[in-house]
Amino acid sequence: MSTAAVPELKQISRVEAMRLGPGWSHSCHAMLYAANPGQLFGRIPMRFSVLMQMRFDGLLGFPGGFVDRRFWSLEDGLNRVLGLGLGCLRLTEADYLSSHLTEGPHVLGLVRVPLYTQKDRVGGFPNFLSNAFVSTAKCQLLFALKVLNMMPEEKLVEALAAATEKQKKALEKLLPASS
Amino acid sequence: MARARRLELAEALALGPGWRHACYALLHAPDPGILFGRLPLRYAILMQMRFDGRLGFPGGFVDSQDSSLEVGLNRGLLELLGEAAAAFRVERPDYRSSHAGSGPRVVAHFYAKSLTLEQLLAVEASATGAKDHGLEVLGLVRVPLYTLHDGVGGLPIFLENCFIGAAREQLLDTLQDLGVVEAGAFSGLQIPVRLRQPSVDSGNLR
Repeated sequence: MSTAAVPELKQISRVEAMRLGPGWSHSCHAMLYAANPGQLFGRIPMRFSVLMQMRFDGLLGFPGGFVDRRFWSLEDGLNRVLGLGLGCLRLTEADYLSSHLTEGPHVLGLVRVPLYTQKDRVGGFPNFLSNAFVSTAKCQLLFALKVLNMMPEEKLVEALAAATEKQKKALEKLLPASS
Repeated sequence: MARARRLELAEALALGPGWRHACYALLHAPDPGILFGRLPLRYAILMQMRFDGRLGFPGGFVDSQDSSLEVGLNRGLLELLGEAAAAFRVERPDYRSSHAGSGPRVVAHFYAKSLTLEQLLAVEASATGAKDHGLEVLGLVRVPLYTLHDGVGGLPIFLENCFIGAAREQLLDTLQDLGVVEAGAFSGLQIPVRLRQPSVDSGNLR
């Protein structure tokens, strides 16, 4: 994977997405976040609380799920699905960020995303990125952080590089040495 | 990162005052639930996403005020998990292993505690009210013990996440004793974990 830029999925416009035929399923996911003035250990600013979830398949993703467009608008479907787990929330079309084409329920827990990087340059966001993600969710997270100005692109690239380096090293330790 | 080294408890307790002790607990309860109408959940087992972006078990450092490892552990669980942790106590019989090496002069003691499903659900429900929620703990997650049709989703993929210290090994060791995985089923990343079929007896820890 090239780490020169933040990798992105094939994005389509909302209009194009709505024109896709009945053979397509729509799933809606939401990144819920809030400004967080707190500090970890009294010195590392947290900046934002961003929610993700551990899915039934052991991957990290965003809360949400499939929306049956025969009965619901995207936002109504999303609010319904979020309401099942989270309650008292209403997303609107103003909160819409992006649509992606991608291939193909039971949540194991909600986790916040650490947006800071610790002194060792690995703890926090880089480690978090080296967890197992649904590929869409990882791209959506990086995209949202960039587009919402929650993290400068250089920092995103740096964290992604550290995470990829870590995974590469772990893989090298595991595979038999090749000459 | 250096691999954690296993120690006998007596050896660990004999370490000098320059060493810090930390205790962590795997809380588990039998879970009769079934996912998608066909995958038995078997147990609810709790782990946490730590402040450093790694998965680990709840617990924390034992300090000099604590009269024993277990006193420190139970205090740590209360801070991390909230009020529902006051409903049970982790004791010496729940102790499983000690490891050194995940930090300079730090020895980590690992426990596994059996709860009722009601007690575990109460922990999950009160966790967001805990003192350390959003700080040292970014959230609690359950461990998926099943494998999906693709042979990868579920426990094998979960094990690909980023773990602190010996947490992955401690998890698998406990799963072996609970009869969920076969002995020697795991030796590194990306190696399929062989699951044992659930039997009538849910299995007990030694």
